[in-house]
Amino acid sequence: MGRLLTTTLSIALVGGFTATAQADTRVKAMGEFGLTTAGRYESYLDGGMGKLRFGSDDEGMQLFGGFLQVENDFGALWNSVISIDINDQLENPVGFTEALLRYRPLPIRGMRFRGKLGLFRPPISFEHSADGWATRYTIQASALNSWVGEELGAYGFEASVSNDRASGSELDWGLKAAVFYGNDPVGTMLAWRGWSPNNVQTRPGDKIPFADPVDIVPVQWSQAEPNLRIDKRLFGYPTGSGDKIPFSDHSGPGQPDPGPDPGQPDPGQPDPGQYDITSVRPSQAEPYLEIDNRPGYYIAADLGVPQRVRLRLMHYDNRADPEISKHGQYAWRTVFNSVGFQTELPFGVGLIGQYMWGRSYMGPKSGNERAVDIDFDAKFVLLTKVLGENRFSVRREWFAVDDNDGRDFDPNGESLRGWTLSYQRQVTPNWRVAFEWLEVEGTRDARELVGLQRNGTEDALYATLRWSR
Amino acid sequence: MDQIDEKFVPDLLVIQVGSRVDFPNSDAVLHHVYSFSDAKPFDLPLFHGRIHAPVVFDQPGLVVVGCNIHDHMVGHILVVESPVHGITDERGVATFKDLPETDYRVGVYHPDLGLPAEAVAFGSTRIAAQRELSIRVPGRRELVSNEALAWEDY
Repeated sequence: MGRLLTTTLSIALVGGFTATAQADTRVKAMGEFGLTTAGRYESYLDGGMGKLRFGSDDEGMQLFGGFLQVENDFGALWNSVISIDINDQLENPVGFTEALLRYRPLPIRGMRFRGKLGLFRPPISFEHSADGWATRYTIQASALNSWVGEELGAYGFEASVSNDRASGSELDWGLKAAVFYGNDPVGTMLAWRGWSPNNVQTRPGDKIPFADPVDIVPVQWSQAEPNLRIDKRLFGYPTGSGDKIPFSDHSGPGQPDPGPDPGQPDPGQPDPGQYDITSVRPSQAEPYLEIDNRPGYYIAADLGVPQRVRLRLMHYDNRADPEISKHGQYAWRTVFNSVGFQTELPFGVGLIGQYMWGRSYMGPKSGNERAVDIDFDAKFVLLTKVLGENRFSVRREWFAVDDNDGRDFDPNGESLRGWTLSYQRQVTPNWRVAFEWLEVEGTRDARELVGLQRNGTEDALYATLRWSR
Repeated sequence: MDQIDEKFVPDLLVIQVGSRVDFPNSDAVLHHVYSFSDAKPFDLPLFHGRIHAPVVFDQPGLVVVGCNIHDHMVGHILVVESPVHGITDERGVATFKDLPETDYRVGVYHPDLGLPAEAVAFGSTRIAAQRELSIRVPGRRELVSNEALAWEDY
């Protein structure tokens, strides 16, 4: 349904594009490339344990980002935006990150009403304020906002009302509400990869890899129970074809019955006292899948003083049915709250702070437990200062996942901290040079499964050139 | 009143009743300029590269203009009956030359004074043949650079 919607929308938008393509069409583009040092671990994008976009195999010249954005006005009140993201680390180098139609009637009694339909992300990030949802203050975004770009995109409709400044209001206020489809696997990456500060944006159809349990499981279980052979297919996660399938009352994986054909669900009868469903823990996420045909929603409230202070609160609930899976991906019920704040401090120093906390779980209830059940939270503080053509930014962040299911063979807990120091210089109106140091330090329990220390520090130095117009 | 880099330039005009104001659009983006002020309600979609007729302001009063697409754009047009009017420079000085020597009532307006829109006149006084007049107005907001952060709705 999601893919169909994009296609239809794209055709509609392109149709309008050609019909009125003269002065009412604007094209924006960006490309950022540069050098990176090698990460300590292999990047999750290569199936490793590394949290950074560029891992141990990625030293040298890299494409850091790129987009093409076409905006078109249909008269004064209607407008469309299509954004195409370029990322040579993903399976599809090119994909849509935005395809939407906006309706913007004139204010009524000092209130602005707006509507937005299509493919977009919830308005959480205060860091991605450059064109094309590019980062403005640093090269890599905070872990919190990176997740917004990785897992929260969806197809939806958003309605909003806000004050009209020209009507003389001293305060800015606004409310947004949206319903959306096509992001039931939200939470997959937070649980099985964890938080990651990066600038990767996922697009419909993308499959984002992370460390594969087929490499993980035998290591731990061969130590704990030498006679036990854990097959990838028998990892103990629910599977199905869109139907609800009950779990037996069991709190861990039992003796697996090796199935005839790896990769296929076991057709035989399950043993009593075991999970009656055997399945693959996927080693990749497909964030835009619709699995249960239930829409999710978010509501957000804004309050601020124009150009001085801005506060945004959001409640998000994808309302997914955690007992359904399709196409090797599970629906994860993911609910979170988010707070964002920005203000201008003395001496022209900008301050941004964001905090997010929530829960995600998957799998039918077994006793009181789900197959995977995590609490997550992330927060950061960013200071930024412009001096002429130079921008200096520093960010401190904290992010954690608490694993609340009792399934020790799949430890998803983590607790990490990060520093980012960034310097940018706008050399010409079109060219920007940036240098950045990024460090992430802390524990991720799953590292032990591949023979790494739980605790570890990853850091990277980046030097990039960004061209934009 | 032009639009450059999603700002009204200048963002304050003082004009006499009956004046016509052009709203060219120097940006590549569409601006949809509007006002709901009693003195002159209007709306004007300004497509890049097209000529638009000027707007005639035929009633005295304050006209606050906004852009329906860029929430942060606000401009002020003060429509006055007096032929003697001006805008202060960055030092806060306005100079009027060759004025007939008589009594004047001086009104002061600033968009950031936080006055209700009706209270256009402020700190008025009566002077006779004075060469310099100083009027102190309470500054409510300190200047902020607004360089560090992006403030538009993203």
